[in-house]
Amino acid sequence: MRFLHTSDWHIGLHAAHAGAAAPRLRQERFAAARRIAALAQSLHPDFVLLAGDTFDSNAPHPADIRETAALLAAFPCPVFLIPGNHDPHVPGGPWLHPAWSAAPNVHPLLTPEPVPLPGGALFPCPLLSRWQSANPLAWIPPALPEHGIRLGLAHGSLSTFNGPIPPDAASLHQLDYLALGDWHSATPLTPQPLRQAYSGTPEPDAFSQPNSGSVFLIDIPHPGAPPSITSHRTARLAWQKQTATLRAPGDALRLRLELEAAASPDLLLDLTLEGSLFPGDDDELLRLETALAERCFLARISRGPLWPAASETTLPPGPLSLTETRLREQSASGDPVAAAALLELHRLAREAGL
Amino acid sequence: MILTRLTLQGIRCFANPFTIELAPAAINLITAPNGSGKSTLVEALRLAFLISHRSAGESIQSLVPWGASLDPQVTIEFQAQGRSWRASKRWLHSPAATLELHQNGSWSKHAEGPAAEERLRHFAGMPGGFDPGAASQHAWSTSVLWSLQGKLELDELPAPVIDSVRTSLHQQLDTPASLALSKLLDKRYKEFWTPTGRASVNSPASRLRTELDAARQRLDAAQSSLEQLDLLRDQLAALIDARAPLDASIDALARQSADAAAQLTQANQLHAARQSELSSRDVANAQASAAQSTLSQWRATQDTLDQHRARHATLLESAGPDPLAALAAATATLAAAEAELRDARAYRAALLERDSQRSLLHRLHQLLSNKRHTEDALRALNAPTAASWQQLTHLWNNLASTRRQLDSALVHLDLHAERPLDLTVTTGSPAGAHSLPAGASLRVSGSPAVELHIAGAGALRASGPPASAAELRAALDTLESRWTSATAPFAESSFDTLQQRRAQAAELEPALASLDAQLNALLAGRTLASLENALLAAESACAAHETAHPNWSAAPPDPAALEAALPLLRQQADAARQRTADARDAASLLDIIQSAEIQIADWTARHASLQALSASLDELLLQSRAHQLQIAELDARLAQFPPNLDATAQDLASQLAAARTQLAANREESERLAGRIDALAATAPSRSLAEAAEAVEDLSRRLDAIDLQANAVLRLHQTLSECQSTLMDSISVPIAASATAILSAITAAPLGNLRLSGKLHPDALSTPHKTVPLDVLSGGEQEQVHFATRLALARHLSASEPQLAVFDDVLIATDPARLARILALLEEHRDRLQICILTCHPERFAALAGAHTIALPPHAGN
Repeated sequence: MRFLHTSDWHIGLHAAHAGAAAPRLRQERFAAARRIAALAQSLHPDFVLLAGDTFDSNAPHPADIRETAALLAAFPCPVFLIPGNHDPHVPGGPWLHPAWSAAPNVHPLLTPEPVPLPGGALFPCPLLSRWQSANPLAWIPPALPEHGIRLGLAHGSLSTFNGPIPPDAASLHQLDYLALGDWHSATPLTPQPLRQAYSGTPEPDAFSQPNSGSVFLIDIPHPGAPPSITSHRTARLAWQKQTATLRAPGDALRLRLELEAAASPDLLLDLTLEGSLFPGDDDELLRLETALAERCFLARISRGPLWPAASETTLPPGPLSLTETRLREQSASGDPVAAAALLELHRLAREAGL
Repeated sequence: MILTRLTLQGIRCFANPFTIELAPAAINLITAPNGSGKSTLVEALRLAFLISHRSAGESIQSLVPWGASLDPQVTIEFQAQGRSWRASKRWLHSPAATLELHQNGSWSKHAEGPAAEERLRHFAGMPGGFDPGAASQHAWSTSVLWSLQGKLELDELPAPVIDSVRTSLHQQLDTPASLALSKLLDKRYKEFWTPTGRASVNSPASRLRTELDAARQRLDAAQSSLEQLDLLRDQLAALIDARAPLDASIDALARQSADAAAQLTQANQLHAARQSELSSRDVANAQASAAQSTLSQWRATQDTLDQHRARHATLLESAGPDPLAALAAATATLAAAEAELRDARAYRAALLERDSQRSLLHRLHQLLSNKRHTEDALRALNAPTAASWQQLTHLWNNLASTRRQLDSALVHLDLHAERPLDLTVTTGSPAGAHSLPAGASLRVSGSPAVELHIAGAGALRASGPPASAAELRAALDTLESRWTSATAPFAESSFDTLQQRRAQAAELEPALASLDAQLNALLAGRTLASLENALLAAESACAAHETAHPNWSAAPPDPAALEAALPLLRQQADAARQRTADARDAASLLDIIQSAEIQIADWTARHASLQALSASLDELLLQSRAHQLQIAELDARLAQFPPNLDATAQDLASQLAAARTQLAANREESERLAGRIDALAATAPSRSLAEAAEAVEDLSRRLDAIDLQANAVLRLHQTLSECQSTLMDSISVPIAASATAILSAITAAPLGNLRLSGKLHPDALSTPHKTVPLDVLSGGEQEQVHFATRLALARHLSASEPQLAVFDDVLIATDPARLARILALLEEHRDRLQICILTCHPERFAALAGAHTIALPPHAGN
């Protein structure tokens, strides 16, 4: 038995953290799904298990439902999927949309009933509400010889992380493999054998999601045999969080050149700048902001504690000089407004020819 | 800047060229009478340094001497920055400005036109970068060093002048570049803030905030839609969950309802059979009852028929022959007797009434006759009534009294003739000639005198009191006239006669009153005519009865005897009436007998006989009994069914219908909710929520950045202002200290510490105990305070280079002692200040021994 395990597609993703790039981020969810379809074409699985949270909410845009159903219909094998905590099965929910009836190979499993598979049985654990406190696998009957290879399909966090699923759910319910969804980071595949795993989201959707962006291909030759799990990359986007500290003249230029070189349409960068600004640094940073905005999928640049280098005081004695001194004192005590005011003073001084 | 020479032409009174030369390091005292052009010299100085040669406005036009067509011209020579300069300027028709520098013993052009103007303004203390057309108050020379005519008071200095003062004081507070920065900062500040420090509505932050608010509203709306969607879904789920128990309930109710219906059908059939038996029984009972009734009536009718027949015979016998005629005769006899009795009683009453009326009328006529006799006697007497007699008596008394008064008021002259006398009474009464025989007497009366003439003897005159009797005589005449009138109706004026008549009348009047009383008592409100009519009526009634009963006039009837005969007549009438009743009863009884005979004939026709009817009754009673037994059996079977079977079946049917209605409502509500859910889901609230949240996040981030910028600009603006204030204080404090020292030197006794405002204007004197506003100082002291401030500022402004200080006709209110100390102070400063004093009182400045005095001729400019 060979199948693909994926989860957490989060079609229609809410991506407030991506700001204006959110619509493009939503399109990337479909792109990742299409890459999974291509994998299914090449890896020839018997079926695909989609372990919940196909949609980001249980009220997705109807067009997203239709597009998802059409995309899954194009898979070369059956697709079994369950509602997760983001898209639980509720009356009037997305799983009752007529689009599913036009996708005969797609099987939204909305009730906890065994599904016969060639050589085995699938025990789906659909979620019927957003909040699940009981073990959703509790209904799975004890193993019988006629079950063959027993697969579980569930969604939720492990009880060790305040979730409803026991950490040893697969063995507890005599499953050859339990395909889990909910966690966007995948379960590390070493050491194997593993009888239960989170495949993670096929396309990371936030900073700090290590080990995500893949699907699992599982091979189980016969009931009781250890599953063979391999990970296949599906992600396109790179989410990078970085803090740059400017300490010396030329640091800003070097940073700009370095980041311009690293910039790509797949990169989502969260950059925090801090430190001292030397002559021309402000302009370099403006250039950097412009370049990253043009070249990256998303560039979010935050100015942390940043102020003109102390050696750069060129203001004439008098009120301007005194103002600079006071603002620098305030900045040194961690006042971001004073630091910004100091930068503003120097910017205006440059503009005034001082 | 030190001025060495000033030439002016075509300005006010100086139509022709006029030149003065000043000593560079001395006090220059320019003296001249009023109107000689002293102030015009200062005006020329201002023109030379600060007024553009391109100016051609009213202020320049007004400088041209009256009636002339001249261009104002000024040429000055001065020392500045260690060099000698010459500036020539002309206005109006051939405007020009030239600045020359003295080098190598000759003048060479240094600048002309605007460049020359710029340099000249700089020499006069106007900072660069200002509009050349700006007023001259932007130069510290005209604001501080040059006191124009009589104007020693120092105004608040404008900011540019303060800046210029700062610059001159080497504080370097605001260089042109720093001013440019301030302008940029101001512009930047206005992007975000209003002048009062509020967020500008047009700032980028405000616009972003508006967008953010809109995005948040969209977010709330989307959130609300999603919550509504969840709510609808929960409601739909609850409806769906409720269907299974509802279906089960409907199935159970349907089964129970079918069972109840079957039982009800069976029970209804039994009820119908029972009802049929009941009907049959009731019919048999009714028929039996009717037969029983007929049987009883038949027997009773048969029994009473014989009794009726006997009674009928008895009644016929009692009634006798023609009972109605006998009754009529007896009744008529009785009625005639009763009518006669009534008439007899009426006749008796009429007789009584007639006699009574006759007696009354007789008495009345007697009284009336007596009354007429009495009244005739009174009329014949013609005496006054009691009331009129009282008036007459009163009048008579008055008359007598008046006569007595008159008599006593007259002069009486009594003559007794001893011999015949012929005399004439000329005054008095009786007037006229009188012949008195001897022995005769004559009384002559009059008032107030009587006079008479006795023939042959002479005249006699007797006089009395002077009072006149005329009034009494007039009153007496009036009273006599009234007496005559009052007694005229009685045809008698004698009081005594009238008094007798009155006495007689008084005797008759009581008798008359007594008669009236008797008459009134008898009449009792009636009239004599009515009484006579009543008598006639009574007599008529008597006559009528006597006509009807002719014998009554001879022997009046006796009602008692007539009444005693009536009982017998009444018994006879009653007996006749009873016979009539018996006859009627016999007829009625005959009808009954005949009716009974008909009824018996009918029963016989229908039932043949009494025995046959009795047998039929027995048969009907047997049938009724059989039906009753059948009913009891049916009741026993019905008792086996549950009670209220019909109500139970109906209740179950109702419950079933209600459950089905509930299920239908559930489905209908489910469909409605599903429709609403679909409609709401079709609006993609989740997408709206995502987009709104993303917009909020994006706008918040941008707003944070803008807010940081705005706050940074605000902080920079505030900090720069604070620093400027700090530095301003550092300037004003030493100048104030210097001015205080100068003021103390002038007054010889400290007035207090002079306090300057931020605009270097003296605003108060402070002592350890109080602060004294300047306006409470005397005019001279105020003058000295401003002089001290100007001198302190001038001292600072001339620190790096001597400067020209001008005092045009000032210090007018300062006393000589203080003026002397002021002049001493000026002497002390002449190495740093070229002092130029213009005055029309040269004697006040006589103490300036070393002054360079320039005495303008009285009409220097003319």
